[in-house]
Amino acid sequence: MIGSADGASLRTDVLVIGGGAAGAFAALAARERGYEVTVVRRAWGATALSSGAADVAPDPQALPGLPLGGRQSILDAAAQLALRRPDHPYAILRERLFLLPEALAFASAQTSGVLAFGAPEEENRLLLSPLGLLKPAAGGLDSIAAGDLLRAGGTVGIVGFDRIPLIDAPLLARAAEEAVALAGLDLRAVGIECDFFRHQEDPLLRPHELAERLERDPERLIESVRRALPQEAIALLLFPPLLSRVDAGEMIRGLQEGLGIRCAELPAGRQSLPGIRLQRALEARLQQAGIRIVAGEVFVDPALGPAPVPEAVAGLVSPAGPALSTFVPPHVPAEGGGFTALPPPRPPADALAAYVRAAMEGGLRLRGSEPSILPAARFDPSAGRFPPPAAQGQPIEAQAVILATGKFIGGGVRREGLLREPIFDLPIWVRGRIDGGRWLGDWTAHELRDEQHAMRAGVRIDEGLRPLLPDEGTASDRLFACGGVLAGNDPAQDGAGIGLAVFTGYLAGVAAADRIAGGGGRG
Amino acid sequence: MSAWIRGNLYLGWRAVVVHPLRRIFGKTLRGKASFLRNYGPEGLVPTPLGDKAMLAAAGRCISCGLCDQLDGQLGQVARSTYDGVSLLPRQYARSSVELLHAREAIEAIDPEAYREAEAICPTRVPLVALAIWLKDRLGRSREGGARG
Amino acid sequence: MTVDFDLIVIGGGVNGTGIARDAAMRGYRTLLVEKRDFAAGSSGANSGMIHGGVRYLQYDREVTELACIDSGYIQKIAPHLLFRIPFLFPIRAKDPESPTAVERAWRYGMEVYLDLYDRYQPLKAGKQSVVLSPEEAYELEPSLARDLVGAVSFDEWGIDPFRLCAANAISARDHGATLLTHSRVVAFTRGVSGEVSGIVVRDEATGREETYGGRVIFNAGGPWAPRIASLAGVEVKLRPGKGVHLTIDRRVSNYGVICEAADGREVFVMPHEQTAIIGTTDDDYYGDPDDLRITEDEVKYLWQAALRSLPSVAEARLLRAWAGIRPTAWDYGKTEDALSREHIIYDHGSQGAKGLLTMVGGKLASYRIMAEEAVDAVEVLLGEAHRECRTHLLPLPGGESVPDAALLAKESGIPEPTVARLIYRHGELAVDICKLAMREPRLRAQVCRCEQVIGAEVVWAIRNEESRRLVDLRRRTRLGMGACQGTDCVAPAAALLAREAGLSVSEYHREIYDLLQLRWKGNRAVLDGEGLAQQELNRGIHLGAGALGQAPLPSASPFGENVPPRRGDE
Repeated sequence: MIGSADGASLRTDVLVIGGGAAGAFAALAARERGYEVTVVRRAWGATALSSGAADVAPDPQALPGLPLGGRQSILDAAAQLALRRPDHPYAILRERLFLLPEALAFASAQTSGVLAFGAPEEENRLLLSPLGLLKPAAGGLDSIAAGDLLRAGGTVGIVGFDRIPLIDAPLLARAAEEAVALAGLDLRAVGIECDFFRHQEDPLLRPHELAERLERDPERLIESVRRALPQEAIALLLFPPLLSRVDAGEMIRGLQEGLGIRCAELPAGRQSLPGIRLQRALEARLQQAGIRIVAGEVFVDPALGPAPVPEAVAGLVSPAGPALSTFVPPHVPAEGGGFTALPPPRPPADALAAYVRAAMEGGLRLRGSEPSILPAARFDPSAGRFPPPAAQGQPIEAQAVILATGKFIGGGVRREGLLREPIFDLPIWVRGRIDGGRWLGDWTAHELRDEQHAMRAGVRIDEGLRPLLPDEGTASDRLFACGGVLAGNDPAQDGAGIGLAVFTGYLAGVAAADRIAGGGGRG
Repeated sequence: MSAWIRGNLYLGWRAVVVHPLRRIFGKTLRGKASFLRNYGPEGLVPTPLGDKAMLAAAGRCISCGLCDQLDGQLGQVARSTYDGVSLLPRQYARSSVELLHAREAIEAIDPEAYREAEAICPTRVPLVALAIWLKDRLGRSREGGARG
Repeated sequence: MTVDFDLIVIGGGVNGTGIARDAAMRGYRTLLVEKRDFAAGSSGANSGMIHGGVRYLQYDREVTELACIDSGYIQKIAPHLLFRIPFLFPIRAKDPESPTAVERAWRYGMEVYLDLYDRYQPLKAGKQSVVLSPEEAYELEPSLARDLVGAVSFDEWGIDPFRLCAANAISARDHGATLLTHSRVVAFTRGVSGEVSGIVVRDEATGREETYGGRVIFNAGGPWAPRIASLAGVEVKLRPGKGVHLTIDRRVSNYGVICEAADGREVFVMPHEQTAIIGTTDDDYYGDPDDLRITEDEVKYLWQAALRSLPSVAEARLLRAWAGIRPTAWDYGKTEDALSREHIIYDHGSQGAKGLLTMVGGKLASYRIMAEEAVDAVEVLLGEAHRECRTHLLPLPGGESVPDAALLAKESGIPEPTVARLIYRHGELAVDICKLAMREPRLRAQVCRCEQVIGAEVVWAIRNEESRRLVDLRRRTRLGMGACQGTDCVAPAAALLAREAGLSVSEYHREIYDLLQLRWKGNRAVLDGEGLAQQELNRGIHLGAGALGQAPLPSASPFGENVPPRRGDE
């Protein structure tokens, strides 16, 4: 069961902040080395919303729309990404990229095959995306990774339901054929609309309700699909990702037996059920491994004083005007409130380092994760800082801390007047510069598919996965960061999502364990 | 230009002569009660600060749908009435004028049942408090309408 | 191949559709040609108000009276589309405790001014103004900054401008007009005596060109009017003004508040359907009307104005910024705000283009009366005897009656909030849309939860309302205009459109991309807070999981093949 903050001090060897894929694998890696691990998470995040496919790195020669040339192994694809993008976490960790296969194998083993990755020398699979395009992926949930179009071995049948208009199987089939043809492959795809859902209300059902109906009556599903099968032989049946709320393995086995055709699921788009499956599988594994999961939020004791503003910000906040969103309490006349701020005095260069170090040495607190109705903290230019958190909390004692808080969805990076990391106030980098409240129209491109630097915002790390301060030193050698909170990766564009979380999470867990083993006390 | 002069002369006339007379004879409206008589019956009621805070909190919703997946009340109440907790921040908490149309759903829901969903909401929408508040706001909107 | 019309109207904004409706109702064979979609231009980027011209009281009370009468007409012909917006006009002082004589005079002056407006309010079913003390104003609008010495209320009607234009166009079609959307005029044809005799139109999807003959051609192209006129070799001068708005994801208040910007201009924060909008700016625009971009200054200017008067707006969630162009009549040497919003109808007969008329200027609120004048002018040119204009008498489609939401919800089994929005957008025709959902149960599916759009409404808009693209559907139904900005609805809506319209795979991908691109254009100007999480999710679903980020978009794009994707379509 998920524990909650209960007032007593929380003592643990390794504190992992964040319960998504990165946090989970960091925790499992540290646990495997024998340490006591506690995961504190405030809610679900990007992992619970993920598609069920896991991408590690895109293969430039397997880009959809181009004929498939000589393709690279997943490991080489990651190395290529590191070369192309010097700011990407793979580039920073290039000396450790050889550990990628170990990390992926760890992930598969730890989840007993729920997450399936191929061998390191294998190439990306090609899955059919929910929009009918080719999606390269290193693996993913077992039922989804099995939908590799390259291994279809014959005509692919895309299953849909005639009463559920939001999944259009014939359209997906046409799209699959075109996409595969562009890649230079020859593949037939047909849409198979079956009549399983017959009630008036069925078009309104959510994915988990549809899954529940399907799970309850697999025999009828088999019959319904069989009736809808075309004359030609189908080698692979791709189902919408609704076959189960927990683990589609059993349903898939049943369908394969009943229909005599290999079955898999499509990766999900909106309202993803596979994402929830993955999240739940990770949480179950964590608990099985004896890792405590606590629902709560970590913050720094306000008594340590306000977090110093990174130097870059102190210079940038000018009297010229407010950053977008400056909160002025309504009882104060607007005149003069927050619009004519003098720049705050420049803090000493190592003030932030001292702050983070002090936080790491007994300054961390834990409070419950009840959502508040108060407005979010906003950067106050006149004071030159964010307001300190109001709550009390229980103290945390940990020998190492891993920040796996995610990006915007997870809350690891927030913009409140300026981009911030809300726990330690670590500087957030965008395109190689620390953010000082710049209008994000400057950090994004007009064209949706162009590079969007703002979406790569995050915490920078060194090769040891330790967060960097403005002077590019690290504040503490017991603090690590992994996953979406890292700068340099845009999961939507860069082709590295869950795979990056697995890799950096694993490395962070190992690094934390090594740090505790290697040096007692502070370093 | 002369139109402007003529217009403002007329306004001056109204300011000095007509308007004071209208006030004396009670032809002008003053005060909060008059305002609410004008607009209350159409559901155009004030939005107190507590409401604004709750609206801002509801505005955190990114329509991810995770809460619906953990909504135990989905399917318990008739679908034509209630279609999931995600509608609380996405629909019901957007306009007090539209709120009356959701009265059946809002009356049917049990706020406590949303604890699990609230615990996993990525952007921390306070679903339980939101449900309680919607019930309250519905009541106030109805009063605002009833007040003649 | 030519088909002959009495009147060809170029431009599907509120003027073009209003003119087409009037002309068709008067029995003239009418063709309406629009290069994108109804209200895709200025008519879709304004504040959405049918106001009574309160500012004209200081110049010409008759203008105000006519505006209020017409506002009343629109109320009668489209009762479902109007929603009341009470406004609070706050009167501020540097020191609210002791206002100066000037400030007190200003307060009295506003009282007098709005009391004069009260004379005309009954014409449009408006309520009488109410004078409020500062304390009362704070009670009614608690988030007001505490710098008032008084306030006066009045009200105006808000409207969905997309639905208004679509309704006018459909009405025109119902009276025999021919509608061509996504069809761009590429040339004029000339008759034997050199008069303008018709147009050559290119269908943007197929690329095919057709010629249509018309006895009179009316250029209602708004910001594009000069470009269209130049095809006939005539010059039309405009002074285009760019106006930017910001959208907040929900109604932060039921009342509009008039705020003061840094340069002293008025900026409104007001409810609009289920959102709130902050607007607007007014700057001379010298750029490409097809490619409007928002700047940091424009966003912060509006934000600062709103924050100053309504500080709690700081907590609100900004969804997007959007821009439109006012096709203001040309005048040099005046500031933007001082320019007249009046309209001018040019007859280009003296410029060598006999048979061509152009209208510039005007405002949304007086479209109907402007259209009436325009058709009167057309009649003169046609040499026809004047026929009665009845556009103020006949309801727009759906405006015949407003069904009861609760009853219709019970009958159809569709949730009442959804039915209520259907009734708002379609009036009486909501009954038919519900019947469609009952006949085809798969169309009960919720496509856009934020704006309560079900599959049946999407299909209806495709089958009956000239919707060919996903971006058209968002104008008709508001899908993608809610808080999620398309995250949840783009893919299912595109699938429905693909099936209904028989789209090819590449067209289907193009539709998804174009709608997301348009949403992104507005979202990126105000990225902050949860908006970033929303974009991470949106991009993760479509560009990441959907693989739209990697896949090459078809170069054989059906719409605007040689034009880059950024069409400025908003």
